[in-house]
Amino acid sequence: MAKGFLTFATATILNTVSNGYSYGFDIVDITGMPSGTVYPALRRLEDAGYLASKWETERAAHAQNRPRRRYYELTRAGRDALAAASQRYRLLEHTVPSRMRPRQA
Amino acid sequence: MKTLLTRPHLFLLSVIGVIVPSRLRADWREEWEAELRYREELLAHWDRLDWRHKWDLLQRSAGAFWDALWLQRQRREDEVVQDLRFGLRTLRKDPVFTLVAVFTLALGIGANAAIFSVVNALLLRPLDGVSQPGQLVQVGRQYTDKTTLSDSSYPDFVDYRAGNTVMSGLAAISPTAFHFSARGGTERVDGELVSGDYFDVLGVKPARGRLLSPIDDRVDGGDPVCAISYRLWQRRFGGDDGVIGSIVRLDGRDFVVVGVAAEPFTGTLIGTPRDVWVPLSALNRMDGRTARFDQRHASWLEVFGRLKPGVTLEQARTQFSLMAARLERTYPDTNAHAGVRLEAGLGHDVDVRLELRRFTYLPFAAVAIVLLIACTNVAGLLVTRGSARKREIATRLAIGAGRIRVVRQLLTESVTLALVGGLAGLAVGVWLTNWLRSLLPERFLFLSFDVDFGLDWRVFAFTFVIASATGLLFGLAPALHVSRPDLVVALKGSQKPRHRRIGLGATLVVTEVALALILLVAAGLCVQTLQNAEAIDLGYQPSRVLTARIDLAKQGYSEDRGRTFQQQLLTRMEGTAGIEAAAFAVTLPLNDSRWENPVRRDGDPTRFQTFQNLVSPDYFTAMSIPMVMGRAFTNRDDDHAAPVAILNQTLARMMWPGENPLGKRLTFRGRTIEVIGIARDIKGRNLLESPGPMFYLPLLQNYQAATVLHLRTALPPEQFIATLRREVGALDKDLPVYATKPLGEHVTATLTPQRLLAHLTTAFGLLALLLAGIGLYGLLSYSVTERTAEIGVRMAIGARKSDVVRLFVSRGMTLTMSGVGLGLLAAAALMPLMRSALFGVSPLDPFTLAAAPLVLTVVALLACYLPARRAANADPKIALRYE
Repeated sequence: MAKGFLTFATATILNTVSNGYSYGFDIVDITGMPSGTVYPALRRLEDAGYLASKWETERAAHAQNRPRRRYYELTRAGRDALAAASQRYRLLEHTVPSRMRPRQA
Repeated sequence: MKTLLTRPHLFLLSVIGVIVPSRLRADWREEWEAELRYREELLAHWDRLDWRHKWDLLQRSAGAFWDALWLQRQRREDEVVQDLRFGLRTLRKDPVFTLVAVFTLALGIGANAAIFSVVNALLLRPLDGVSQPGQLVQVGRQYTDKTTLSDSSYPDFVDYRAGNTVMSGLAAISPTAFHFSARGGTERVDGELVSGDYFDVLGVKPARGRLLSPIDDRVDGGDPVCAISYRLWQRRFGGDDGVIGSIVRLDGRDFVVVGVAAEPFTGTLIGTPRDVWVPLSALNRMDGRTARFDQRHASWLEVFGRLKPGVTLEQARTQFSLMAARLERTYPDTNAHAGVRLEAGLGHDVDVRLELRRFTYLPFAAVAIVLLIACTNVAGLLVTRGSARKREIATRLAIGAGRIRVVRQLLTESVTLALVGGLAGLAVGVWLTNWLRSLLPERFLFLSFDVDFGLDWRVFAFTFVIASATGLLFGLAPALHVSRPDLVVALKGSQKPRHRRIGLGATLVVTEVALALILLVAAGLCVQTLQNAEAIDLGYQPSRVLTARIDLAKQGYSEDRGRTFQQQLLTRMEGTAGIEAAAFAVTLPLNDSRWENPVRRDGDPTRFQTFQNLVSPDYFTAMSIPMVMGRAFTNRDDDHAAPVAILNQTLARMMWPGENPLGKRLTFRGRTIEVIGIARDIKGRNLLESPGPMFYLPLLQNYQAATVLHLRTALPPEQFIATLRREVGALDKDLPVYATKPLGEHVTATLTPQRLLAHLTTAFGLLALLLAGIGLYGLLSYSVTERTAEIGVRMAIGARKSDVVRLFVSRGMTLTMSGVGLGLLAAAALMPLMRSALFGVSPLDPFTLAAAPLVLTVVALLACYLPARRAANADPKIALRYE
C-alpha cells in the first residue's frame, strides 16, 4: 500500500479502530459498510503495518460467554497515517462517534 | 448439509473457507465464526430470527467471500502451490521430456479444440445481437407424414399469437432477397419480411433511428419503411446519420429507411447474414401476392417466440399442441395432420442441425482417438520418467510423505503439463480450424458457412475441461504406479529391470498402435470414397463452365422486356471471343433447389414424379450433355410453335419402356407436349445416387425471370467474370449479377462431407501414426538405456552388432504386431458403422486392410531400428561399467 494514501473508506475504518471499535463486526455496525469491504480493508491495513491484531484470551471470552474475538489496534505508523488522512479528508473526524476507552484491558 | 438449513450463514462460511489458503484457514474461520455465532446468539436462535436479521447475517457472511479473495495473495506457501512450483521446476529441469509431452498433448488437444470450434460455430453458438437467446423458440408446422419442419401460414400465426399465454411475444418472418438501390448502384442483398413485433421479440436495439414496430406492419399501413443492418449502413452509407429518413429502392420500389439495427445483429439465420428488414405488409406493394395473408394452406412464414420467464419449453409445447388440435378441428381442409412443433433456440434450421449432429460423431471419434493416443504416449513417457525418478520418490516416501501426497504431487505435475499442452493446443486448434475452414465451401445445400469460427468462452471451457481430464487420465496410472516402489531396491539405486513396469509401457504402446491402425484404415476408406466420388461421370462437363444468376423480376422487368433482355444477352455473350456457348436455365444441376412435379402420358392417369428444368436452346451444348435421340431445342421452339419437351433416359424408360419415345405426347400442368429428344442422364443433387427422372422444357415457351446463365468457355472460366459483368452492364447498368462462379465449384461443394472426412481422417491418421512411432521409439530407447549393462555382457561374450539390433527390433516388432492384430480386429468391428459415409468401397476393403498395417509396420521398423542401432554401437567396456 502506497504510503500516505488511504481511500476515504479505508481511512474511515482506520479512524473507527482508533476510536476504540476494535473488532470486525463492531466496525461494520458503526460504519455501516458491508463486511466484504471492512474485512479486506483490515487485512490491507494490517499488511501495511497500520494495524496490529491480537486474539483475545480464552478466559476473557469465556467470561462474557462468547467465542474468542480478534481485536485490532493502531500502530504508531497507523496513527501517523490517520493524522495525514485527517488532513486530506476534513469530514473524517465526524464519521465516527468516539468511544472513550475500548473494553479491552 | 444439515447446517445449510439450520444455519445457512455458517454453511456459507464453511464453503467460502475452502478457498482460503490452508495456512490461514483456522484463524480466518475462527474470526468470522466467532462474530457470526455471537451475533446470532445476541439476537435469538436462527429459527426465531425475523427475516431482516436473517438477511443481515447472510449478507455479512457473504462478505467473507471478498475477504477470502483478498487472502489469495498469501497463497504462495500453500501446499498446492508448493506442488505446483515443484512440478514446474521438475518440468523445467527436463526440457526434452516437457517439450515432447507438451507437443504431443498440444496436437491431441488442439485437434479436439478445432473440431469443437467448428461444431460450436455451426451448432452451439446462439444468435448474435439478440437479448437472452435462451428464451427464443422456433415454432413450425409438423405434418404427421413428414419428418422435417414446415413453415406456418399467416392465419395460423395470428391465431397462435392471440391464443397463447406462454410467450411474451410471437413474431414471423419470410426470408427474401432484395435488389437494393441507393447511391452507388444496385446490389442484391438478403433480407427478411418481418411481422411488426420482430425486433421487440428479439430484443434488438437500434444503433440509429428506430426499428420496425407493429404500426409499420398494418396492412393499410402508411409510408413503406425498412430498417437496415449496421454492416450495410457502414458499407453503403459510410455510417452517415443522414441515412435515417432517406429513400432507398427495394426491387424497384421506394422505401424510407427508419433505422439501423445495432451491431452485430444480422437476422435470424446464423451463417446467412441479412441486411434489410421490411414489414410483412409491404408485400401489398411488392409482388401483390397478398392472398397469402388469408390462406391457411399457404405455408410461407418462419415463426418464433420468446418464452415468458419461468415458462418451460414443455409447458409451451403443451399449450401450442392444444391450439393446433383446435385449429385442426376448426379448419380440417387446411390443417388436417398439421401439428405444431416447438424447438428451443433460434438461428439454425432445426432439421439441418439434427442432420449435422448425426454427421459430427465421426470427426469427434477421430479426434478422440488422437487424444487417446496422445494420452497414452505421455503416460508412457511419464512411466519411463517415473522409473528414473524412483529414487527421488522413494526418498520422499522414506522421510515420511504420505502416498497420497506423492500421488497428488505427480498429478499436479501431469495436470500442469496438460494445461500447458492445452494452451499450446489452443494455438494448434486455431490453426487447424482455419485449415478446416479452407475446406468448406461458401454454401452447401441449405447451409451457409459465413460463420464466425473464432474462439469464444465455450471453446476455452471445452479445451480447459479436456486438458484437465487429459492430465488426470494420463497422469493417474503412472502416478499410482511409481508411488509404489520397493523402497529398499529403489534407494539402493540399482536399476534392475522389472517386468511389471515394462508391462505397463508395452501395453500402452500396443494400444497406441492399435488405435493408430483404426484411424489409418478409416483414412484409407474415406480417401477412396472421395476419389470414387470425384471420378463419377456426371453426364456433363463441369470444367470450363461459368455460372451466374440474374433476377429480372426483382428489377421490375415485364415479361416482354425480360425475353428481349435474355435474347440480347445470349447474343452478346455468344459473340464474345473465348465463349463457345451461352444458355439460360432455371436451376443448376446440383447444389441448388430443384423443381419437382408430376407428368403423365397423354390420356393415361398414371403420374410420374419427376424433376424438371427450363432451358434455352444452347443449354445442352453449354453443359456438354449429349442428345441420345432426337434433337435439342432451337430458337424456333418459341411461343408460336407447338410445345416440346426433352426427356432424360431414365424418364423415357419409365414412361415408355421398350418403345421409341420420340413423337410421344405427355401432359404437364394441363398442357400436351410433344417429346422431341432424349438427353443423356446427368447426376442431380446427390452425386452418389443414380440419376432420377427428369425432363427439360424450352425457356422460350415457359418464361422465367430468375435464371442461371451458363457459359462454356475456351479458357478457365474465372477469366470471363469481368466480361460477363461488362456485357450485362451494357444492357442494364443497374442489374445485379450474383452467385458468379465456375460450375466446378458447385460440384466441389456437393462433395463437402466426403472431402472433409477424407482430409480429417488422413490428417488425424498420420498424426496417430507419428505419435505411435514416437511412443514406440520412447519405449525402446528407455529399454536400451535400462539394459545397457546386459548389452555389454552380451557383446563381451561374442554377440555381434546385428544380434543386438535384432534383439530390440524383434521386441518392438512383437509389440507392433500385437497392436496391428488388435487394431485389425477393432477396425473390422468398427468400420461397418461407417458404411453410410462410404461410396464405392467396402468397409472391409482388402486393399486398405493390407496397406494400413504395412505403412504402420514400416514406421514401426524405423522407430525400433534407431534405438536398436544405438544399443549395438555401444562400447562394451563402457556398457559394462554402466551402474
